Amino acid sequence: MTESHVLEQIRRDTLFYDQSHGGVTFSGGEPLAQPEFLYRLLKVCKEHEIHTAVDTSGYAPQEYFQEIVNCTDLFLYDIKVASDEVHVRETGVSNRIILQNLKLLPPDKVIVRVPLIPGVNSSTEHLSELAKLISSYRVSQVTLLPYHRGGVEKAKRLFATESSVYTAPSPDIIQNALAILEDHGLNPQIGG
Amino acid sequence: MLSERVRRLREQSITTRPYISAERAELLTDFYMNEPGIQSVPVTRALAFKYILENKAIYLGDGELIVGERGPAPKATPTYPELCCHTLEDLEVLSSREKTPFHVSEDVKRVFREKIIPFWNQKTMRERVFCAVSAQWKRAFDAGVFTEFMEQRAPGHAILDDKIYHKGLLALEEEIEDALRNLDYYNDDDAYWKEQELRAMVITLHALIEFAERYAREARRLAETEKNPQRKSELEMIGKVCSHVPALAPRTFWEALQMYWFVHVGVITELNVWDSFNPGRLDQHLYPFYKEDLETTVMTENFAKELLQCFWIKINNQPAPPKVEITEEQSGTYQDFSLINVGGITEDGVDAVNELSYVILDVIDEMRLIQPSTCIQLSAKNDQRFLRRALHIVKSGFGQPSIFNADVIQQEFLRMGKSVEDARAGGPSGCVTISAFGKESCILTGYMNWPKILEITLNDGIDPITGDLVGIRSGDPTQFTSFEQIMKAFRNQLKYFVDLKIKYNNIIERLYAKWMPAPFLSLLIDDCIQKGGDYHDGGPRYNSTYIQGVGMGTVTDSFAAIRYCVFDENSMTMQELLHSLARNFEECTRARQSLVDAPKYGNDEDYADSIARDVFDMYFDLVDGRPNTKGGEYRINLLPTTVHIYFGQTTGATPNGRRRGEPLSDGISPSQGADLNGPTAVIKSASKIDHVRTGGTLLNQKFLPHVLQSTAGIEKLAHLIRTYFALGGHHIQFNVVDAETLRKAQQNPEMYRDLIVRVAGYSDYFVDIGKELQDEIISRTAHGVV
Repeated sequence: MTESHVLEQIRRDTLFYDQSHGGVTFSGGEPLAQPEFLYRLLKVCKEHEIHTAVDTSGYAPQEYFQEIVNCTDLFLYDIKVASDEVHVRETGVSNRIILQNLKLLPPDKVIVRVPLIPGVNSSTEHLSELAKLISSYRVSQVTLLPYHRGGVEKAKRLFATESSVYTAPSPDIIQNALAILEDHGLNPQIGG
Repeated sequence: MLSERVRRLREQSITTRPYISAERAELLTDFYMNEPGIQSVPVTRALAFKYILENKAIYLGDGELIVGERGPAPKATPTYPELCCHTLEDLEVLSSREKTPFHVSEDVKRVFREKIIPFWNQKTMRERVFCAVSAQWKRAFDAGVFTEFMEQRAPGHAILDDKIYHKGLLALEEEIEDALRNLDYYNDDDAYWKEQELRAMVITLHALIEFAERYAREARRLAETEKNPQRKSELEMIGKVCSHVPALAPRTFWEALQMYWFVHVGVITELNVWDSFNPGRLDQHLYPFYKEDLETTVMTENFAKELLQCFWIKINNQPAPPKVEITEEQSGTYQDFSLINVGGITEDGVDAVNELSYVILDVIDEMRLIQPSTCIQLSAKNDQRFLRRALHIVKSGFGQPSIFNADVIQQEFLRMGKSVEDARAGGPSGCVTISAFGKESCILTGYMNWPKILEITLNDGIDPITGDLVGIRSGDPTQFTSFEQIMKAFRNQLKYFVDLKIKYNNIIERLYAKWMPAPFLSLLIDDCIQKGGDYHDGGPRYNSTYIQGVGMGTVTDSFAAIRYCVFDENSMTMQELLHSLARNFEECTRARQSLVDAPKYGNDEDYADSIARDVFDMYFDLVDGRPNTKGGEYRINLLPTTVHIYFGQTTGATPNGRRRGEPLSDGISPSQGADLNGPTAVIKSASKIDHVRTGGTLLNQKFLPHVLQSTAGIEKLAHLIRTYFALGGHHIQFNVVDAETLRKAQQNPEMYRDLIVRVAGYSDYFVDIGKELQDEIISRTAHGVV
């Protein structure tokens, strides 16, 4: 697979992007797992005036990051939890690199995405901490992604295991989370 | 919020099951039994029309504001024995069949047995048509290669322009008198026949005026004894309205609607025309009345809405006349294709959306009836608010309104030689085919089964189902060494069937011109009066004849699979392919899998899509521009109504992996389940054929309701439609129901009586459409994302 092959697929829908002011979103998995290829793709998209978004966990080596930032129009950037300890427990890695990378992004080019998972980051304490953290980066666009179990069947087929250990948040938990984020001057949306 | 009156009338219209009325057939029989037969055909038919309207029952229902029924009561459905005289067996089938049944009482059966059948035997158009056709034609017809629209129903597809809102029928009579005065008996051999046609028109227009007067008298009679003062004044007003229209031009919104309705009843009483009749661009025609009545406080907006709702119920009260056999298979629905247009552009070429357009959209939303069928014409000049309003109705899942590209329709009209003004005043009629409203006879003559023709090609002219030579000898495909040879053989077969269809279309056109003139309908369509010509005989300004291509997805995928598996990848030989088709893929699982895995139309991949374009171009070249017998031309359109089910039954296994008997693809939609790259890819593929060279194409898309629940979802759908139209698409329609709901409805029809789905160019009650079509709708790809 070369970038010109991917570009050809992307360009098939340029009329739809024009109509809806949309563009291409590089998602995954983790697109930054292939930083060089991603970079080349972003560059050709820029040459063709196609709006680009990168949907990432932010866990990526810094050496490529700045160059990628320069040719990306929008980041969909996951911040899961403020506490590094919880982050390590739940994801297996520290959030230090993620937060360092976030510093490299112009705040108006970022939508922070927060998965809302009961028992992990849904408490008032966790969310306040998270909101403070996000505000400190001067990012105001936040999307709350309430955890859902829609992938359970797929996980079963892929891994032949019941991999989901979490439950979906109740409407009350979602409302509470929205309120906390708003209190910290953020502009949260649900889903997306 | 529906008024109590509208709720009650609507409920009556929905719950009354259609039944056969012998009234019209009996009156017509009485008339012809006593008819000396000395007068010309048009005059005789005009007198028959007059006799029916003079003697039929008058029905003025409690609470009605718009009056007039085709039968003696709502849902009482007449038959037209001069065209198709139903046998006693037909009546049994009609009353007992699973889908679109018509109740037939013992009394009606008796009248048919004793009077109607004995008189009409060997006198019907159906018999004349089948007497005229050749053995070759009959073989192709029986094999399911094509259907014939005119074997049970008359050519129609007429849509009205704005003339009746400016001119009463008496003003049209003056035009007829002028035309009569201008007849040149010295130099024009046809002068006498023109005179007869024009005199017939005069008879019919007075017949309708007198019919309206009967309603006026009935309203006044009821008013005298009416206790409720509000209803009393309504009845008095109905009396006044019916004494004014249709003789004179309407002065108010109420009169304008009643004017149209009397004319509509006249047209559908005269003949069982295909695609009943249609007011066309209702928001444009009625807007001046609406505006003035609101300004002068003659009427409130709510009352305008109530009048429209009463009008909607009137159309819903008239099921399509009963069809039997293949005609029923190809169009199995009560829907009679009265398609109301909203929006688009004006005759001056500017945005036509007005306040009344929105009121009509509200009415569509609130009434939720299968009839009338409704659509919006969407131009780049119409704003997003208009589209969004329409999509909010689409979202609710009842399949209406469908959405047409007003700008591409203009190009289609202009390519066919219409004037700019006539083009702008026109639009889609019936299902998806365009017509210059008030000026065109645009006749759909039958569906052409492309996959069946491929099947015949792969069998060197033989229909493998019967073993008969149905086509021509086009070569043994196992001897073909290139894909191009298959395409060429297919083209030869297609040409043979197109020629056969056109030859007998032309003959059938002449039969209708001679035996079934429609002077009342002719009166309404320009330039029948000026020419002294009948609607069926070249009287209209434009005369187009269509043969509808069916199965584009199936045939494209079949060709793509042959090319891919036999010629490009060499994964199977032609012999192996033919063998697996003959076995209907039994014990050929691997061969079938290879065929299924070949590229498919609908994924924005040129491998398959370019074949769709080739087949389209081939069909276009063979049909478009050929002369009909009325001074007009043949045109193509791509739509199926319900024929893709019937054609599926007549067509064996096809090389795309489709098994014998399964439905064909519908319209220009991809084969069921073949599109795997989402709606944008479908739209890209569908726009690769040149819609401008058609008179209509049909693209069906189905979405699960949750996709459209958010404002963002509606917005995305709007973008999808705008992009399809920017790419030159003609029409798109949406089914918004989930498969689960449909399966539940299939199991418990009683619980889902009101579930309406988009079938193909029209909406229908899901529980009425029969199991196979239900299954087909369930299996259409349900796109989860927009």
